Amino acid sequence: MIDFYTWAAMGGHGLYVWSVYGISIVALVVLGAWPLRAEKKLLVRATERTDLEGGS
Amino acid sequence: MGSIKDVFHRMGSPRFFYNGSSLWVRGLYIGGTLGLIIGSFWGLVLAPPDKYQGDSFRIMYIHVPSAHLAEMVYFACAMAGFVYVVWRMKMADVFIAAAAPVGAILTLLSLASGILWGMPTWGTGWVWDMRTTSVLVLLFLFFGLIALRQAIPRPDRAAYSVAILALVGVVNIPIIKYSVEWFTTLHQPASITFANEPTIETSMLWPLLVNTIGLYIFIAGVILAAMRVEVLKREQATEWVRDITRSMQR
Repeated sequence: MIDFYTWAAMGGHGLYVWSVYGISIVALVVLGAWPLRAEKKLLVRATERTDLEGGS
Repeated sequence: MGSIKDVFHRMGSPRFFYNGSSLWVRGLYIGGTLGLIIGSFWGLVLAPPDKYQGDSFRIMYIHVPSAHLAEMVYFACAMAGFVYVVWRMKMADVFIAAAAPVGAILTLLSLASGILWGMPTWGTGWVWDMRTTSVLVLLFLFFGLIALRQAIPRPDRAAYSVAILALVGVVNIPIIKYSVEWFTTLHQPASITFANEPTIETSMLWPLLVNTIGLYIFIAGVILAAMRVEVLKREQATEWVRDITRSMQR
C-alpha cells in the first residue's frame, strides 16, 4: 500500500497529471453550469416581459 | 411509416423538444457525472502505472475521451448540417448552434491535455505533425461555425452557411483519425480499434471506457441543455413560451 504523498506525486509527473485533471474539472463545471444559468436568466427576462405586458 | 414521419415532425418542433427534454438533461448530467467520477477514480487510484510512461499515462483518461468526443461532436454537427440543408429542419440548426461551443471547449481540453502529456513523454508540448495540426484545424472549424453565424445578420442565411461549413469541414475528421497511419508522427497509433484486439492492458482499458461513456453522457446533457437555451432565445415571442412564463408566475 503506497502512502498519499507518493501517490499524489505521480512518480514525479504530478504537476502534469493534476494540471490536466484540474483544467478538466473547471472546463466541465463551466460547460455544465453555463446553459442552466442562461436558461434561468432567459426565463426570468421572459417572465418580466410578460409582467410588463400584463400591467400595460 | 406514418409513425416514423410523425416522430420526425415532432422532433423538429422546438416546443415538443423543450417540453420533453428537461428530465433528460437532469438524468444525463447525473449519469455522466457519476461515470466520470468512477472512471477518474479508477484511472487515478486503481489502475497500475504504465511500464514506460509511469504515471503520466493517467492523462490518457482525460485526453482520449475529450479528443474522441470533440470529433464526434463535429461529426454530429455535420449530420445536423446535412439535415438542415436537405429538410430545413429548425432543430438541426439549433443543434449546431448549441454544440459548436461545446465542441470547441472539448477540442481545447484535448489539445491542453495533449500538450501536458507531451511535455514529460515526448520532451515537448507541441510538434507540427499531422495529428496535432489536424486537431488544431478542428478547433478553428468550431470557431468558424460560431463566428460565421455571428457575422451574417439574416438568421436563415446564417443557418444555411453554417450548415454548409459544417458539412465541408467534416473532411477533417478522417484526416484526424488516420493521420497517425498515413503520416509519420510522434503521436502513437490508436490503441483501441474495431478490427483488432486492444493493445492496452485490460486494467488500464476499463477506466478509459468508463470515462469515455461518462463524458458521452455528460456532453449529451450539456448539448441538450444548450439547445434548450437556443430554443428559448429563438422562440421567446411565441405563445407557448409565454404560457411557460405565465405558469411560472402562478
